[in-house]
Amino acid sequence: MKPVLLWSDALLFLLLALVFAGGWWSRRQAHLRDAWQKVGAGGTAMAAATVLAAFLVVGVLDSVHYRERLPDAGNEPGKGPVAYSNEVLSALDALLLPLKTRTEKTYSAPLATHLFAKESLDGEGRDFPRLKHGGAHLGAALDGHDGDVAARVVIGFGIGVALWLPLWLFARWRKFGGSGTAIRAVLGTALVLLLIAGPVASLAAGYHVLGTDKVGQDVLYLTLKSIRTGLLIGTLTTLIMLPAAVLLGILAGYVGGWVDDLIQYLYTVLNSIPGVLLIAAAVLMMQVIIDTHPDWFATAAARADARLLALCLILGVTSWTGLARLLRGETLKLREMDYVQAARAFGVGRLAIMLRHILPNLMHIVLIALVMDFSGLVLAEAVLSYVGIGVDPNTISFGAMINAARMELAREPMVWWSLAAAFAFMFALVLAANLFADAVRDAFDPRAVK
Amino acid sequence: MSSLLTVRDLSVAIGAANPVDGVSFDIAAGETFSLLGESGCGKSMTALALMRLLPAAARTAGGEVAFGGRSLMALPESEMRTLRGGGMAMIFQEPGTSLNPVMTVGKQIGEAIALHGGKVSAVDLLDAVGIPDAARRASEYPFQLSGGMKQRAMIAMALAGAPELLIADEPTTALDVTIQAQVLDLLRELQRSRGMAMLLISHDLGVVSRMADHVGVMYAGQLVEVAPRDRFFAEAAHPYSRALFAALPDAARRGGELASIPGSVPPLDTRFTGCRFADRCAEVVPACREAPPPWRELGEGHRARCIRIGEEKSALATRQEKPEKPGTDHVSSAFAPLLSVTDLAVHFPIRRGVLQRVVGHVRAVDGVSLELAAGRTLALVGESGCGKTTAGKAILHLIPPTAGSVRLDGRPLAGLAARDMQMVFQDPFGSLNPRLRIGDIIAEGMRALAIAGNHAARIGELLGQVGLAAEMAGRWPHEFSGGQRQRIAVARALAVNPRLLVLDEPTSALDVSVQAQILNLLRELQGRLGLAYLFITHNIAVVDYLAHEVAVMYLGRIVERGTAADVLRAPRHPYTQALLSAVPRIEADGTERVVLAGDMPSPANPPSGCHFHPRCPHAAEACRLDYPREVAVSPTHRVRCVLVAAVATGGPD
Repeated sequence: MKPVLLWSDALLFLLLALVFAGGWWSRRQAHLRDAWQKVGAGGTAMAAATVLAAFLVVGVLDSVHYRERLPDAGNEPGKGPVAYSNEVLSALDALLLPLKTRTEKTYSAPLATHLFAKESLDGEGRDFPRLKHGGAHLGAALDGHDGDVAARVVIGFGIGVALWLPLWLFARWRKFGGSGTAIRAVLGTALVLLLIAGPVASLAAGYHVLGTDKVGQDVLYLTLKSIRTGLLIGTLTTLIMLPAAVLLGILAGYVGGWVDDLIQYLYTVLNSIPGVLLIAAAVLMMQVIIDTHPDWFATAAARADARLLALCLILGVTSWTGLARLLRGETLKLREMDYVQAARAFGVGRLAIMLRHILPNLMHIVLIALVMDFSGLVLAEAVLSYVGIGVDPNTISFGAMINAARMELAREPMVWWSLAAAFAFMFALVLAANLFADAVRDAFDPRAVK
Repeated sequence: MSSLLTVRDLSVAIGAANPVDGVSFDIAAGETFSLLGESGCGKSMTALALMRLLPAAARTAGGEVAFGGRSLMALPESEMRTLRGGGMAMIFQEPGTSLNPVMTVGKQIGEAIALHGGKVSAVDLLDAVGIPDAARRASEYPFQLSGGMKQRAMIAMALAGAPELLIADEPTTALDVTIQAQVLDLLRELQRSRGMAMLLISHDLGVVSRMADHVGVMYAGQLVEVAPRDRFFAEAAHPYSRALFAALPDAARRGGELASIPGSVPPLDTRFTGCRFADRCAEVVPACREAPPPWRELGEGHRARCIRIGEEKSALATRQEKPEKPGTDHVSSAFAPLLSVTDLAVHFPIRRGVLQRVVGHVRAVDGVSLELAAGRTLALVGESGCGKTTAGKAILHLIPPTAGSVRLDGRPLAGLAARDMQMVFQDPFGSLNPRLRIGDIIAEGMRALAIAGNHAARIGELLGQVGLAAEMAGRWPHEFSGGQRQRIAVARALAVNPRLLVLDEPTSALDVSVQAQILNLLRELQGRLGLAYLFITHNIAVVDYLAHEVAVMYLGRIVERGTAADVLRAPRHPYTQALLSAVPRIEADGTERVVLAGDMPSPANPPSGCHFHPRCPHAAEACRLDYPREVAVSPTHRVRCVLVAAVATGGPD
């Protein structure tokens, strides 16, 4: 086994490290700690945070990549060159290996034992063929299907509760929530999540819980793989956009004059180009570059990853303008504050004023904008992939699933489960992000009613 | 005497805190009752509770309010709505935000009239509140009106329902003294002609003295003293009331220390066991802290909540009347000036159109000359918009001057002179970066100017100098009260050992008692460090207490300057005379007051000739032609007025 670090993995881990470092640092800042404690005390906020954390765990697991070592072909073990598979797998793939490998021929409904469409069987006329994997353990005893499903659900609930109890005991033992944190909301949400995950896991061992798609891939596997793509687009884009927005916003607001004019013209021009066109052009250019330099990428995953990063980059380039405008306005207000005037009276340099007096007083806006933008970017990825200018076709994403569902919905009878699965997961992710963003805004916005 | 409004044991609760706690008073028809106290004492909250307009977080926790015999607390909201505006109306402190900016003034007043089924027209009401050319003004939007006119329009709106009681919450605090005088006169006049009762909320003893029939002093949510006006101003009984009087700066206390009240008003959620004022009281005895003091009747409706009344006379009264040190006022011109400013001008271009062509200039500062010697205080006095703050910043080169020269020790300045001149700002909440610790804030100047030495030790020393503890260096600005923040701002300025401080209204955002602390501090620092102060203010009483020399500014120019005695005792310019007489004073001196008509014109388009002639009661033909030259009426006293010139030369020009 050989670990592989894709660029997007590296950036995601860098971002996580930054978030943890920032969290550790803000523990010592009185005003930040107060604000975070306010977020922590909100029941809705903490429930949303728990859901987000669950998504994050899936995303992070899916970002630990490696290549399988191929079995030595004819050589003595330990001799000859070691060969690695062309396919890049992640820790999540390893966990979900059964889901990944047990593909059917084509569409099958959730929990089905037969394919969705009739086919001509050898000499026996047309009928629904039996699935290779879904419900295979039942053998010929198809009557036991309902009972088997019910039994697996009950076992699943048991697993869920069993996993939750240690969590609960741990929280009781360490007396979390003593400082006002809404630990009950966290535990409640965790229980709900585990009560959903338990049965799903236990059913997934024998069935395709969310059905299969056109080429017979398990839809549950696809949705879980989509989470990483969504998270990456939502977070890496902001990482790219942030320095530009903060730097240009503060410069325009504080320095003023021709610098302000220049930056304003820049973002007015950028805003006037239809965003989709700009993104389409950039993605197509990237595509050409990737296609003409196949030697740059060792694996297909690396190539898809490059395209994902390019998408983040171009989304970042088009989306810094809003935050920059906001920061410029706030800087215009701050530069007239008496403490900035006082610093000027000491002859403090411009850069020092911007770093010491302006930037720290803008951070709450930056934080609020980051959290609020996240859900918008996840949705943007879905829309862009739907129009075909999003991620690489090999990358599994919500947008790609929805794009595929376009054809499925037109079938008679309709294939609804891909769309429903993508919709449900995306809805949960975006709703949790939005609720959390609201709580963050309420806690950090000084103008909010206290 | 039957009372129109009766308030009994009114309490307001915000969570566990009681910003108003057991307040009782009566207002008779046609009478003015004044609630007096510092900010945070619950005055406005009381008024809002009467109107049942408390903010969402607050609720009336108990008590009874009867208006014209009807209990207000039990009234359904629909009847309460007709009573608001109809029975009792309210005007607020900030006229700028009380009017809807997208509706014409006439329409807004008309709305109020229609609501109460009145017969009068908006124009009549605007006329009644003394707005000239009312018909035209009624069709204008709030932004086209000056601050004074907006407040008049607000009063007109309050009158629309012909209320029996007018609640005025700091109605003139946001206005200049000359405009304040106009509005107070108007309120008096309206009250007399309509027989209205008035609840006047104010922190200004002068305003209260001028307007009130009865005075109630509030402290930390409670009334501590209630008295008829004359009794209150003759012999205030409660130590807090007396401390408020003693803290007022004026000429009589010059050179001496003001009696300041230590500390500040306790926060809302404080739990009290004894007297609420005990911690700040100079006459406190152990019994004060044991139980809440009961009311003491002193006759003629005068009562106070203090257990020590009648025991002995105040220690405060003896501390204040130190005689002025002779000679200190007349040493100025013997020395070479530290700062000398000649013909300083700051013009801001007005740009219009696509090409942003300059179509004119706002002459914020237009030829200001002044001199200031080490160890002296020059007060730059004027109303808002006269350019005094801009002049102060231009002297520091925080705003680049358009013309003129600033010399320090005779050397012309080309840019910042950060080591020699520093500034203290008006707003103690805006002048400290909330994200920096106190120590870092004070060290900023030393670091920026690379001043050698042990910064930590110097910060401790500076904090000690301004009356704070050295350990406070590690704290954040939000942990400090307004007065403490202003001390920190002074320490920050002193950190680089400047010789001159520009003080831009350093006390106008502070309460009287805290203002006294800061003024004492400034006076003491000047004596110890030999600092020169350029004191920018509109508060004549502070000038009288602190300044050696005074320069009066009007519309970007200095109209009169001289020693404090020259300008304040024998003002020669009509504007100075009007400004001084507009200041509400506690002692009714009986002299005829000069009330100026109209507002200050825009500095973008100043009147021809003498800028003051459109408002001047003595304006002559000559005033319209040229701006008057500066005339010396004595070696230290210069005036720019045609009339004064005529007197000085002894014949017609």
